[in-house]
Amino acid sequence: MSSLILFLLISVSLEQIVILHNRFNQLSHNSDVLRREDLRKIPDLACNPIQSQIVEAFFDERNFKKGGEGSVQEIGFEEFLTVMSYFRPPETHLTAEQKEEIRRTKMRFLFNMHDTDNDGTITLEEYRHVVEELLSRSGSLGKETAKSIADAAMLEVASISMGRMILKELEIETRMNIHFLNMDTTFFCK
Amino acid sequence: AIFGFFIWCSILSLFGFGANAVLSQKRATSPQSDFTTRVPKDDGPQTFPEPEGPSLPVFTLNYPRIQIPFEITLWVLLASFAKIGFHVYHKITIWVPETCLLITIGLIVGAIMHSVHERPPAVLTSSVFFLYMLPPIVLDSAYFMPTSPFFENLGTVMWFSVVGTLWNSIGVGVSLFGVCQIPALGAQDISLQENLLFASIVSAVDPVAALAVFEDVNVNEQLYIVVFGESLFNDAVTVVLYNLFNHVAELPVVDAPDVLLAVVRFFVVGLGGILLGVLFGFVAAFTTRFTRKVREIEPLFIFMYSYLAYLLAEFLSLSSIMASRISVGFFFLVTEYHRPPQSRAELLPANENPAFASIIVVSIVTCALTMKHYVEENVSQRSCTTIRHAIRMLGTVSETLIFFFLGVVTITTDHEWNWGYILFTLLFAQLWRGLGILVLTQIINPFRTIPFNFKDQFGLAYGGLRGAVTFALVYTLPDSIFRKKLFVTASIVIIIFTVFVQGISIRPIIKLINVRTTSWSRDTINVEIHTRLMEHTIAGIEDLCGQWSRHALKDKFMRFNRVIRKILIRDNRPESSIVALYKKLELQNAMLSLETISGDISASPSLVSLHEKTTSYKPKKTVSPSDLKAIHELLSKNMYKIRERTVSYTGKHTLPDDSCAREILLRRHTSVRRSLRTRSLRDPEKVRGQKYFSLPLGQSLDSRFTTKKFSCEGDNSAPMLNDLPARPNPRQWLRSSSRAKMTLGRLDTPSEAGSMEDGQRAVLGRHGQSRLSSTPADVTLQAPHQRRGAEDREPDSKEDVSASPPARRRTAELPERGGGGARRPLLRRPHWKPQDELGDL
Repeated sequence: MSSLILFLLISVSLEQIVILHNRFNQLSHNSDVLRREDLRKIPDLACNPIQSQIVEAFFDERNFKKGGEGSVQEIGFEEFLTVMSYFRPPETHLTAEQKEEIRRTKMRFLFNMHDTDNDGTITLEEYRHVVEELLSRSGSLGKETAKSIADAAMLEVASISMGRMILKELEIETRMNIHFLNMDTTFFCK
Repeated sequence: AIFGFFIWCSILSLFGFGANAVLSQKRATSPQSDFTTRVPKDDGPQTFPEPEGPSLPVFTLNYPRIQIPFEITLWVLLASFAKIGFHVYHKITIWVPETCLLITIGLIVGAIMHSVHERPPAVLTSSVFFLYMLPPIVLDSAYFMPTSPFFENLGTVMWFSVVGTLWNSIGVGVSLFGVCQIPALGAQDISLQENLLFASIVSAVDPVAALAVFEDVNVNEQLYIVVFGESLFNDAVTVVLYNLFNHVAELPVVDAPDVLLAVVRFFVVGLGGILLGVLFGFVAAFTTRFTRKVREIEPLFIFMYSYLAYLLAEFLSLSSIMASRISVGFFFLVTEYHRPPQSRAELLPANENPAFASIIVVSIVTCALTMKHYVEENVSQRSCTTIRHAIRMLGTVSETLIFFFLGVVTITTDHEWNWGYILFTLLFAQLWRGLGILVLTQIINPFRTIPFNFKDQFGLAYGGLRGAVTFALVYTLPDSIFRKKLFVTASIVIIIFTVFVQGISIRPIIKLINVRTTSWSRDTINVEIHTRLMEHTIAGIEDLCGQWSRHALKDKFMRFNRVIRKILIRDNRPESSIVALYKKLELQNAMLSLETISGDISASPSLVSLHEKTTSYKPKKTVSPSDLKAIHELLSKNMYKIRERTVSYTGKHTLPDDSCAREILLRRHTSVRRSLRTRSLRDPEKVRGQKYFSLPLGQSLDSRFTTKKFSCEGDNSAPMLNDLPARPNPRQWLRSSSRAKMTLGRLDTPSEAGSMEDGQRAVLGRHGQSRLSSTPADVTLQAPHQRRGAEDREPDSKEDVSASPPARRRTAELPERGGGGARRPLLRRPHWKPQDELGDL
């Protein structure tokens, strides 16, 4: 486990961990491990257009430690907590570097959700897939629209940066909405 | 320049009021009181010359008949001229807020009027303000409120606007009352109720100037929206408090039930207003579902329904007070409390007071919010623009008039100047505002994801300027308030102080203390996609935690929303915000390109479309039927404008349809793609050379292309590529940026010429990987390679906008043509020979 995630974990307070543990037990029906099916069964989550990406993120090795690869079949509480820790709101007193670190970590998490085949680039297909999923709940838009939107978005990136959506470029692209990221990470574990 | 303007303006005003003054001299015989009420009853239709006997007058002047509308028009016109004047020299409005200038002009006009002993028209009465001036102002700010940040910060906004205003009113009121007990001040006769009333008036913030500054310096969204929302809802709260204290101030004795009644009314009125507003918003949206055939009256519905909601709220406010009285009465029955009968009797006539504007503000706000959401999807593009413009215009006119009027009134009315009271008001208003922000932020901060830091708090406190509503409220105070003149004077002092001192200094201070800023440009598809993605992620994680909070709630609301949309919106194409933004950007660019390069849009694709045709089959020497077909197509493509023009007739009761815009959009798609594909191989001369609609005499299509081919092959293609960055052709870049608005010209730098290849490879995705092995020598082939990349994207985005049937018909052929090889890049690439590719051009 990387030092950063440790840092994140440390700042999750004890009572938050207890609450999360209860939830973990509830989801896994008091077993030690959590499977994909357990998460898919959550009724509210079933309506989420990007349900599969979210669930996948919990079983993605890359989110557990730096340099991890592939996905696992079941996770324990520690992994569950690690993934959850990505969503912590930042502390108020942080140095600029720490803020940057946290920002990068969160970005990496999002990036991993895009980059399904784990090669460090988001290709047009992957991006299209995400956009399709996003639009899938809003009715009969069809794949064509999703495709053209993804293309347009990719073209935007291409004209800003070098085009290939490696992590750096995604950052350039998302620098402007990083505040959403910060803002949106609410207190889960309050 | 500005002085010249002032002189010009005063001449104009002299002209306007000169006529007035002449008239007033003429009417000097009439009683003065008559004049102020502006109900001329002294002289009927005046005739010049005096009619003698039954003969028909040749020339009649009937000024009193037109007096009121005429003067109002002059006032509005004058205020509008003033507004134009400010923007003649735009640097002034950067450093001095518009409100300051308006008040200054008002002061000048007031001085002129004072010197000719003219009194301002007494049009600003309580009912005029509440019925005609306030609704446009509130509608304006409610309609243009950024919805999503508002709901994200709803709690904070409400906290500051409700509790903050209460805090300010009570704090200022009580401390003023305390100060009034000092005998030296000479204000001992002002009762607590009157002080509270005055304090509630003074606590209405109106930070137009502050918001303009915030917008300019890109202050962070939370701060902006809180100041915005606070000003919106605190008007409502202030009006409620105003009516409440106004009502209480008229009572001889105040007892507990009255206070309780007030509190109950506060909530009943608020909730009632919200319900009424939402109801009317839905009704309006539902109505616009059926206005497809009568586009020209669409905007009317917005105004009529919101005004109806407003009026009905005003009407209902009486009954809501009744309801609250019943509940309070019930409460006292239970507690067996007996109210003095005489106070109950006092209550009744107070209810007939027409100024019960309490819920109307809330109702119009919610009505606007609801309506905006659904109506804009039902109405046509034009109606939408009309609605926005009209709302903005009405709001601006109202506000301008009030500020202008403030300046005039400041000079022309008699003031009661009480140094002590006025200075203490000023002091307490600032003090309690600052304290309130400090304390309330401490309470709300733990509940916020992003807490307000000290700088934000300063921005919040310092942005609390007083403005139009304060003045209007104090000016329309009933005359039964004994020290009304003092209140008017004190309010004017506060307004002028805050608007001038704070309004002018806020920009340097905000810049100096370096408040957190955010970039506001959300207008790229990537940002939208990622915002949505994050929202969904957060909602999902919250669901996963089994926790309900804002995002999960928003998710639920969106599901509920989908059902409502089915009922309210005509062609219910559930549309995600991403798609909407995408279409908006596309349309914007289409319009932009139409404005800037009209003509070029049809000219540039001409050759390329031919080129695509010719690559698909072998060149022949004679003019074949296929060539004719190509020419046909070329002509039909380029002549579409003329066709449109002949077809579109507008009847008296119909508006021109906008299907033309859609076709333009479609065409823009193709032209953008083509410009992308060919831009590296074109130079301006060649582009210009291609601008013909038919072939030069004596040349067949193929001969044209073969000559070009030779010329290209004769060159070494490398210089052409080096040529690429050095050739600034803004038009091309403008067009190629249809999807990437923000990066105009970035690629123009030499260093990035090489990186384009990378870019294209990435866009190509997997297929592009095969190009990785290209040797440096390959660099010369880069440009055709780019063409490939663009072609790859082409077929996909082609279909998406073909919503209208005629447009669909015309594009049906496009994918086939463009996609011949491009749809199967893998199949095509191995056979790809660079020289052929170059030669074809």
